[in-house]
Amino acid sequence: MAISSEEIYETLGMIHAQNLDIRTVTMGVDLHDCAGPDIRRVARNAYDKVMRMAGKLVPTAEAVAGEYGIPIVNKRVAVTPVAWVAAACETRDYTLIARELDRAARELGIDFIGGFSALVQKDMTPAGEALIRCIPRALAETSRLCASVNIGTTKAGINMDAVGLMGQMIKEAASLSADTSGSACARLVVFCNAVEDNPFMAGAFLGAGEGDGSLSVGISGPGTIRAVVQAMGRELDLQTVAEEIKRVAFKITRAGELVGRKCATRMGVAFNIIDLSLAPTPAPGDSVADILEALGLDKVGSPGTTAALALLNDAVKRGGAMATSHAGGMSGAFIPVSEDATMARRVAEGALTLEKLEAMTAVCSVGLDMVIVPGDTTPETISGIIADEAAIGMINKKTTAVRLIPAPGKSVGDTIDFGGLLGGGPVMPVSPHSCAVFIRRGGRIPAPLQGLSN
Amino acid sequence: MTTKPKQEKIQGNIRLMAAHARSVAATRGKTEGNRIVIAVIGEDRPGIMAGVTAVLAARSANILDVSQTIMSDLFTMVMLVDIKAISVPFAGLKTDLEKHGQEAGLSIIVQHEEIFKAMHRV
Repeated sequence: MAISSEEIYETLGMIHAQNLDIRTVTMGVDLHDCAGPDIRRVARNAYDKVMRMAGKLVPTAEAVAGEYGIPIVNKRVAVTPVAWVAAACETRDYTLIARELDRAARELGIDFIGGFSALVQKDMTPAGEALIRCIPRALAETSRLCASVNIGTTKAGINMDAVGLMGQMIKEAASLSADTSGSACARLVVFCNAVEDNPFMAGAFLGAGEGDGSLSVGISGPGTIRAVVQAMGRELDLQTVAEEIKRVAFKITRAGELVGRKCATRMGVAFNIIDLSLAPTPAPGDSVADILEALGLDKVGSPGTTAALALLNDAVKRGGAMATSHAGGMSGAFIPVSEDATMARRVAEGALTLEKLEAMTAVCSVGLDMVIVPGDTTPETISGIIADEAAIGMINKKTTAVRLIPAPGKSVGDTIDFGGLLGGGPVMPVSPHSCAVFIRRGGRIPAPLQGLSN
Repeated sequence: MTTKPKQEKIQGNIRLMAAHARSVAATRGKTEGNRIVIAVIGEDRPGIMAGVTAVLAARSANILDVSQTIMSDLFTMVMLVDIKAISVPFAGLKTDLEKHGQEAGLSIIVQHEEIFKAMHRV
């Protein structure tokens, strides 16, 4: 049956008036076969392999975007966690690998390369700990490299030694990028229940069970969903609204799947997953907070915010899951403060607090994301925030993450602008009460009963 | 006076319809990529369609369907075009159409038909 004019108008409206785009095509590149004792050799192998596998990524994505008339905002590469690749190296300074991966990203013209990562949810190998300690310098010496560390899972519990260490590393990364208000921290995320096929940054890496090369897609489309919710007015009941969100999510996902499959076919690699996440950008109207407010909240952060987000998150997943057989990655609404203009404004107005954001992360993906905190926040307090988020993820069998920026020299009342997709926002107040003794205990929070699922 | 066809004949026809649907579904993948949708939006005046169709004809693109209306005082046209036999690469046709749009003060959007099918058909 032919496509009707109305359907064509609807698609044109979604793309040209409501910012519908494909947020990212992310190419996964396995680096296990690059390992060896000589770090220079390993770094060279990694550079060569990324260049070889992802060489056509940018031109392919641009050609496909042109043919289907739908923008692909970011092109990215996710690699095997470098802590695994570098484990056999004689040195414990892995920054050369970081620089070589960054060089590959620059030369390919991609936006980010992720995978300067370690998975230490139960304990740290010497390589895992060494990688974590390299992160601040690795980020300071690069511009497109992203780092991530998984410090807990529902099955393993929470590695509180690693949580303590990450508090220090985030502070160090901030101080090494003090001239840009700690912007290096925007490329560093701490996970509980990290996903191994996530196409979104800063947390993308290619896990152990993945193939040699594959392509994943992250969809976007908060503007499209807001337009639909807004058009429904203020009277309809929530079931009806959820149903409508589901229908739009289906369409958005189908567009993403088509684009992803075409890119994968042309590059001769497998299509991996489509991530059904609503990812906001600082552009006007491209905001998850706007959807929540269109649902009937005066300001995001008010009572009802968590419930509205839960409804939104589930409706998107329902529509998306019907549209693709390969949903994966994070698949949930993102609530990054600095990347969502309305979210940032509500924080500045005092309507949205850190504690409310934490509650919201219990019902969506992915965590306290792009939250700017005062520069004098202690490492232990940062670790405490990480531990709280990880506990939510561990108990609820979901991914949670923390991407905090303790902006050096800045305090509550200051506003910071990182530019581009990272956006900007106000410095948020943090509880002044200390959790230092709790953090310094170290050890492991045992895996919860929820982990005993067999 | 007409009589109702026999039940067996109706059943036979339904089976034929189902077989036809299956054969159409089977060829779906093979014809993909050959058809594009062109949307043209602009101030209404004589010659808009003539201008766009001239660009298409000169490159051997075959118009399959046209729907045109005036929406909020703006000329709005959607065309379905077969590009199987075009004399230039798709990217070139797209650029030429967009260039024509700029010269004629029209907004011309060119997209493969597949994206619409993917989004609006289960």
